[in-house]
Amino acid sequence: MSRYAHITFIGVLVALALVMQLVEGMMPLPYIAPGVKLGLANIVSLVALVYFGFRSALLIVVLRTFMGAFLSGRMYAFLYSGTGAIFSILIMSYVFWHYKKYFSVIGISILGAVAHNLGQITMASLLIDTVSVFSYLPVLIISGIVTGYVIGIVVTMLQKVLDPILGVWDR
Amino acid sequence: MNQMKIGDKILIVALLILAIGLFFYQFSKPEGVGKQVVVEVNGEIIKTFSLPQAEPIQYKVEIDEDDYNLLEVEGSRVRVLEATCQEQVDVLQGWIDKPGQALICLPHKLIVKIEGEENVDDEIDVRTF
Repeated sequence: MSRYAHITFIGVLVALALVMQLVEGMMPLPYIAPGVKLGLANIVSLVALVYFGFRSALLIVVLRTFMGAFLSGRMYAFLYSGTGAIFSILIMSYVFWHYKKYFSVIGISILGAVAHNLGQITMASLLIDTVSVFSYLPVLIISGIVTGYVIGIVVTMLQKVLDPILGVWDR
Repeated sequence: MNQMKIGDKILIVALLILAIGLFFYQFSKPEGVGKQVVVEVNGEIIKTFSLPQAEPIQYKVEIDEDDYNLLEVEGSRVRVLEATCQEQVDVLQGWIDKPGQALICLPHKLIVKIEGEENVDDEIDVRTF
């Protein structure tokens, strides 16, 4: 893929991820515990990872969380959701490149969702200097499995569409 | 979904076991009764209430000119009634009444926790993880 095509794709994916993140913020989802959300933007992170590799995926995640914080006006949120997102993409990339044989996109997505929650809660506990937030961990793990599974299914479906288009390019 | 691989299944089962284990571990903690409510902003204790309270109390935590969290203590439980933070996570948490539980408002760096008899909540949580 040419450099320009690559830059264009990154731009489009960042825009997509931002929209998904903002739309998700507007969705009236049932309240379960702090930090439980669908993680729609992870669809984009996973697609980026599968088709464009680790560096592009990391770039997209960093840009998305940074710009998302500006757009929503929640700068403090960048600290903990950014930590979660970056931790998540690091874990997903590592497993994707080293253990692709054993894990499908669904497993990687679940791992990413749980890692996201874990990173976020760790940052939150550092920020407010308490360990009490860790009592949400079981809920966050379960919700990570569920949302990760759903996102994984979506990405699997997307792959069927994207493979013929993007698969031909050199990764 | 049949495209799941062996690792996926092991991962799901392992995470489920972990979550259920942690869940039961937390619930097996000695329950006890809350002795006091501690209100902290930015790591500093600004107010404590002993429990139980005979009359419901409302207490406004002023973060700055515009921002506040309105707490309500009733009997042995406490909640955030109103808050000016965007996500309202603390308000949505509802009532808490057990030692070790906490209401948290990240943007205001506010934490309202219930402490038990020997002030053990932090220690137990550290041991859990």
